[in-house]
Amino acid sequence: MLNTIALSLMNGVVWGCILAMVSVGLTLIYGQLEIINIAHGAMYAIGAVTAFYVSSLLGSWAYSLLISPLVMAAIAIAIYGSSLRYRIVGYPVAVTLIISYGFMFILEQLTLLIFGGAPRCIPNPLPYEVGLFGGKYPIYRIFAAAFSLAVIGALLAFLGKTKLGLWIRATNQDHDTASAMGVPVPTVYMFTFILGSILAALGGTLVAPMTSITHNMGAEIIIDSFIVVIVAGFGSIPGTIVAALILSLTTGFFSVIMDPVLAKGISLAVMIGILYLKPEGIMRY
Amino acid sequence: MLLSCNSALAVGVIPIAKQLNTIIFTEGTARQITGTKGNRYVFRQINNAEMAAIAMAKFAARKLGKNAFGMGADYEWGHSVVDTAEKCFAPLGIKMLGKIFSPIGTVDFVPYLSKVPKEADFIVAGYFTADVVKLVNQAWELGLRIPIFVGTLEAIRYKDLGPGADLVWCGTYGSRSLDGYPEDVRPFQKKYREIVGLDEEGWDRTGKISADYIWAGWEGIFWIKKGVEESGWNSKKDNLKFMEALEGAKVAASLEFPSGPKIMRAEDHQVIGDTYILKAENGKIVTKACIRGKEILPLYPPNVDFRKEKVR
Repeated sequence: MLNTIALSLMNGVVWGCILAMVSVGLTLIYGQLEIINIAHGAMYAIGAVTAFYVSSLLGSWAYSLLISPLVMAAIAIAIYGSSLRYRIVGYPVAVTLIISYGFMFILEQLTLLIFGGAPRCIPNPLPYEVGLFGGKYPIYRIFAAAFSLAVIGALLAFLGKTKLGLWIRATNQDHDTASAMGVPVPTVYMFTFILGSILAALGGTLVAPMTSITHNMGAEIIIDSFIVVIVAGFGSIPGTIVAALILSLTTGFFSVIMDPVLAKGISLAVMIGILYLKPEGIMRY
Repeated sequence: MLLSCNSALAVGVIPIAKQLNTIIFTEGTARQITGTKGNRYVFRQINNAEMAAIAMAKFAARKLGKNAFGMGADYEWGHSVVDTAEKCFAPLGIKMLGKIFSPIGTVDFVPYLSKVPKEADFIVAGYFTADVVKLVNQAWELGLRIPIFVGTLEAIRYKDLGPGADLVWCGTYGSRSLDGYPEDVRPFQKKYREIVGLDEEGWDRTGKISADYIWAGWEGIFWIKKGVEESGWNSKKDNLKFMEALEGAKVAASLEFPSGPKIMRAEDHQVIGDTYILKAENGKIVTKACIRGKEILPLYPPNVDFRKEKVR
């Protein structure tokens, strides 16, 4: 029993950290550009698929931690340059939803065309387990959680300590004043979109050795990401981390004593409860 | 109408088929499609999950142990695999210690695998494609070293099953490799594969489509052709004649039916054909046994008789 509890809670922490990183990307894009990026899940899938090809061609998954962000940056530039830069910011939400929904289909179908529909797998880069109260837990998952937290930490440091980070925060607060003060707002928008997309891709890259890789695996995470972003408070990075951990830990905890599907239902009820008490989110930015 | 292999789709369409007076052929393998959830308008041109479970129970499970644990996708087919396995295991003294079901597309099976009791000798898993890959790999990562008997290995490579690959068994409806087919069937299966572009190992030239299941689409067309030709079907007014032409029809292994000889059982419109036991072994998916349809037939009586239904 102790092993089951420890396993479930540890698993909750691991997925909470990964979900937090992916959701931070989503909240960055919404907080800055007011774009609800439905294609975020497809970007996550592209990160995983890229990791597959890197692992197959170069013999090591580790290179994908560098290559996936570069690939996603290129794709994000293409998406932003082809449509989003044309002053989508400030347009009705429905417009951005439809555009990002369209890009989701395009990205998914292109991935299907190239990758195919069969599930693939990457060998575990850290095929060791750690003892956990009489049971075992994969060390790779602990690494994935730590890496996610490190990325979020680096992002917070970047936003807080660098000039570009200052521009991003300034543009988020008041883009007209920021522009008047000489901040290159269109460049900041593009950079934020790329950054958010990279976080999604990194999530897929980290998850790839833990699960099977399919062209449409983005659907597995996008709904939870939206839930986390809403409960966190739009644009709040600390809130996103807290919300992601609450969602995953609640699911993990209740999975010990009941069917995991019911446990997920309870965690969603907890999210609803939080929103009921704090409709603006846990820590609105 | 020719449906896909999705059991949930078939269950949804079945009552509408009767309403619209339209005959359907389905590859969905959930037991009750040609059982209590079916009707006279439904024909199934492939074996079903219960027949695979019979094969699994009779020919393989005895080698795996006396205690099983059931896991499955939480929809018609997943339940069918696990529930029919439990039913088939009981007379053999194999006990199902418990069952748990997860949504299709579950990312992380760790919460479910943590519920597998230590006494379990093997797992019966009603999952397909991506879920099988995840389950097998995550079971290995959690330290589970017991065999996993899955309902299908369609479109899955040995390599993607990870370090636990050699623990994977499968009860299914076709052999992945050409040499897994019986000698009387093999020449026709070879010719069929040449036409559709599958190699002897069971993959198409793009490496994206595997051979386990897709022959059912091919044979479905020829069942329809047979029904039309033998009944003289011209419009929906001839539906009853079409049904009667196929009820009890027998086909031999041929290019039209390259997976082997079959009977379209009259009572429930269920094809009785050969069933295969596959195993992941030493880098390949190999065929360990072929259980001929005539061996399965007496073990699998119908639980309905659609011939009693009126057809408009």
